[in-house]
Amino acid sequence: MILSASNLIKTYRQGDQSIEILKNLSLQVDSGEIVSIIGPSGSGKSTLLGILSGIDKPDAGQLLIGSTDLFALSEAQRVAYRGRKIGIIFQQFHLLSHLTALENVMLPLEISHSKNNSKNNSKNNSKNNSKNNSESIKSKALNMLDCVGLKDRIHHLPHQLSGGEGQRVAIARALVIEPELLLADEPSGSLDEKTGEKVIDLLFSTLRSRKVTSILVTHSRELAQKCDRILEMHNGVLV
Amino acid sequence: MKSIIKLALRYLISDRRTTLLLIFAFTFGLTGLITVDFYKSSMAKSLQAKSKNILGADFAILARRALNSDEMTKIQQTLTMNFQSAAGAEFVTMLSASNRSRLAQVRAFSKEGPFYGSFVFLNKGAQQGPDLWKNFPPFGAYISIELSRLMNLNVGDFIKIGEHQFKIQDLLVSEEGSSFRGFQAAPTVLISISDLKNSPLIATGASLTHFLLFKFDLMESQSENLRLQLLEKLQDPQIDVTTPTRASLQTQRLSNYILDYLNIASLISLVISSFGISFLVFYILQKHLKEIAILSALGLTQAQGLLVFLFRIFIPGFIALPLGLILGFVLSQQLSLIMKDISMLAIQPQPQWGHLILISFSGILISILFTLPLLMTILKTDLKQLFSEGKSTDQSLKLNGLWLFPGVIAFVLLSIFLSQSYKIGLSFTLGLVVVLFFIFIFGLILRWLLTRIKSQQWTTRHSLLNIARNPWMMGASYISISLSIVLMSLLSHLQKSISQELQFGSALPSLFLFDIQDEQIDPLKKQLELNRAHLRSLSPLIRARLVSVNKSSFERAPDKVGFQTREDEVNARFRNRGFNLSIRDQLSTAESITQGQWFDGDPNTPEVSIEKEFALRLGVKLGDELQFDVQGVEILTRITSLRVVKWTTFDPNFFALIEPGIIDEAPKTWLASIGSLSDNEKPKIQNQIASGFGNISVIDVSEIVQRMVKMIDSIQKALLGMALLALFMSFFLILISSMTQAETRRKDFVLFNVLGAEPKDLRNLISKEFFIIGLSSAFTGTFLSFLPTFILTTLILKTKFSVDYNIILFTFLILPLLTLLIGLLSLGRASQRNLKNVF
Repeated sequence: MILSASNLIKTYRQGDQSIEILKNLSLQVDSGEIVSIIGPSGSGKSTLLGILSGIDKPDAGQLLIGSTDLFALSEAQRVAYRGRKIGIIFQQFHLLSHLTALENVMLPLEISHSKNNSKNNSKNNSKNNSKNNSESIKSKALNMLDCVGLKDRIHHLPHQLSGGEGQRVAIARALVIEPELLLADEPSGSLDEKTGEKVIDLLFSTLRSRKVTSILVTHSRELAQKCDRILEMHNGVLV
Repeated sequence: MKSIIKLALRYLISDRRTTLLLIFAFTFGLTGLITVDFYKSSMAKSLQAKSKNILGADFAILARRALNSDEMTKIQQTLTMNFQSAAGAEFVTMLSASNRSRLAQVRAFSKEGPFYGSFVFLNKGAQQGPDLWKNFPPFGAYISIELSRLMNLNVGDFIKIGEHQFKIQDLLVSEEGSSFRGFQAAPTVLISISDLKNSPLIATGASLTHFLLFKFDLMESQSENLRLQLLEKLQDPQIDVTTPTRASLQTQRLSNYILDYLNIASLISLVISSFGISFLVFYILQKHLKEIAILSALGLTQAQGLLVFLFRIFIPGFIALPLGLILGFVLSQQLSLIMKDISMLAIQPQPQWGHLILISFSGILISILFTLPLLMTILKTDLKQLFSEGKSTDQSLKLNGLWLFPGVIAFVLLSIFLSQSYKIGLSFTLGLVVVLFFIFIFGLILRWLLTRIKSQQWTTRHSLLNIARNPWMMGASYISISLSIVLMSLLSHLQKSISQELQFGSALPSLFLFDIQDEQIDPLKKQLELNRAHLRSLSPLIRARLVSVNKSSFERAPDKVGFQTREDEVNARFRNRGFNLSIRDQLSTAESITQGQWFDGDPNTPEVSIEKEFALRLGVKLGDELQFDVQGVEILTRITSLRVVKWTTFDPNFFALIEPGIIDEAPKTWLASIGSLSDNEKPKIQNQIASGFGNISVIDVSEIVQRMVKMIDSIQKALLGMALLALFMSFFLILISSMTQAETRRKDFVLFNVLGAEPKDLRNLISKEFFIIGLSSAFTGTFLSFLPTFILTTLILKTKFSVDYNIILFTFLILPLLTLLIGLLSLGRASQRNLKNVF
């Protein structure tokens, strides 16, 4: 089992009212499994994603990814962990507008490698090592972009890419770190039907070939049915 | 119209932060203009109120010589009303007492005058002009309290003026009176003119101003008409007729000159604030472009939509006006202190509100005009975008650069108006454009270089990428900071160069002597030789009048009605003055010929050599004929050479030199200098000259140089203040540009955080970005300041170019850190976690 969430509780305050979004939610996902979570708007899907990615903290409960208790880590440790181990695909892609496709995909590797370098003793961090790191980062990013069929668009800025291409860059960025867990929030939500289908097909083929443990949040039953398991979000719990 | 203004107000209220930033941007942009105008109009008003006291009369006639009987008759025939008159003379001369001597400015009045003026004495207290000579004994004197301190004199002591001993009656603490020479060269002494009868002090050739004061009951406009009538009759340009208003203008001349340059410098803040306002307008338009389409769809025309946004920008400008006035008032007090050092004028705040508001509105208008290229895009709003689903609402603004021209033209006109000079206004605008162009080119080069830097740290890499790929956002900050640094550096290097030149540039003489009579030369030389001192550059000074140029009469310049430029004023003063000629058989070390050749003894027409700038002002060139009236004898001369003169040698130098043998016998006085003297020798020799040759005036050159250096320091301080205002505005621009990109940057920072970057990494990234901008600006501004300074010093002022290393240190050490700090302050909050809405 790669992910185990137990008894997650999350409430929000709205004026003097407390609204319980997640009510003792529990979830287990096996290694390599692709799970979909469906539910209507306001059911708590985004809140759950925030907690699973370590961006938000539950009021109670535990989240284990592999052997790591995510919320036992400090804020800085959690951020670093997310950068190295959790890939996220957003509905709006969220690419950095001033970076090319290649640079967007390289970015998470650069961030995580810099943390590794500062952790290691600087004596080991010779100039040659740094140069090798850069080259390996670039090489990985290029491979990933090739996998998603964007070999010829690596130097294009996001505004020069179509919607489908932008989402593919986002997919490449999420997968380039070889994550233990992939979270996808409505991956085709901003795309037209035809493009969305192509992107989803690409996503699934890549996930399956790399055996990436994934959780997809969607309100499309059609997309949910492509996954290994469908969970429905109702009143703050998964059924 | 009401609904349009209502819509504009709704926008203003709903987006308070942008509105506030607009108000601040307008306020700071106007502050410099308002500060200078506040002081200038207060000065004009203060002096106008005191103008009769300054002149001491309702009307005055001044001349560099005694008026002849014919002229007196013409005056009496013209003044047909009842009047009172008083006569007098003003001159500088040496005073001596005990073993001390000092140069003083002596004003001698007949017992009737001055008619106005407020004098405060140590013992007598406040006295009005007519009361000065009540119970005043013969050979009595009032001396200024400054002079009493310098010479250690008290009431009852005696001072020697010319041939006579004068007894000090009281000490003058303060007075509202100005020298007719326009510049208080030395401390004041007041005496009775009757005590100077037959004195060599007022002999022919002595450099003094004779005056007649009149008191009558006429309105200002009638006085002005009277003045014109008299000028028509008294054709000699050496005679001037003046009114209280003109006298007060004369007093303000030096200050106005400096204030005109300050005004120009303040325009740089206006330019930078216009950048800021343009940024905000860009941000507003990006945010609301779709709304403009909606408004159009709901029935508003695009022109009306444009009006809504014009009001949206204009109203904050209007609100900024009182804020600018308050800030301007506060800063004008500081300016007042600095200007007091230069002009010795204590000014009470009395602004001319109409003028202030006009200037302020001009500033606001120009800032808005510069946003026209952006605002005009409203007229091209595409309503079809309302029907596009899933398309980005950010429609790129299609700018038309031609719409910049109204702003540029208005800016040029304002520059000319503020500097009171077509030449300076146009040169400034052109210079600004050139500097901006070079900053832009430097920016492109730096941007290219930045993209070539390979760093292993991702924060460094991404800070460089952000700078390189957001050129407009980052570029505006870089350009405005660089511009401020160019101005600051230029002023600092210029001040250093001029001060160095004045103090150390040439082997300055210790003393400068004038009003030496013919018969005094040999005895003077003998006296000096006893002390191992020598006269150098002994030069005759012969007063003359320019009668014609190339046989065309050289007449007094008529008064120009309406807007008068600096050039008009200089031209008028130039034409309405006498000429000091000299004779020389060879060039001095301070001169060199630029055109023609030195006197070659051509027997046909006497030769004259003219200083180059003087020739330009006269409008003459090589080969032209100048006819001079040398004290009643007309001499026709031909220009055979043009010269440049290094005036900072403080040796006797002249605009016009005539070859020997032509006017050698004309009545003359002599000028000379005495070379390097020790601190002990200088006062000793000065005292000996004062006691042995009472009419010879002696100026301590080093004292004058120190005064000039101090004045230049004060001017530089004032100008630097303007430059600092521009720098402050640049930092404010960083705030504005950060705010306009905050939303985008926040999203980017959220993403960085999602991808594993900590807040400290993001602060690191922001710090590097702004540090690089600060450092680039420091480098660009410093480098670009060298060329204009070099041109100004070596080619125009003919001084050596000296570098002020303090400003370079400040620029490179402090500026990048300040920029970093402001960047962190403005974007730091955006880097903080707010990830919850990322899904």
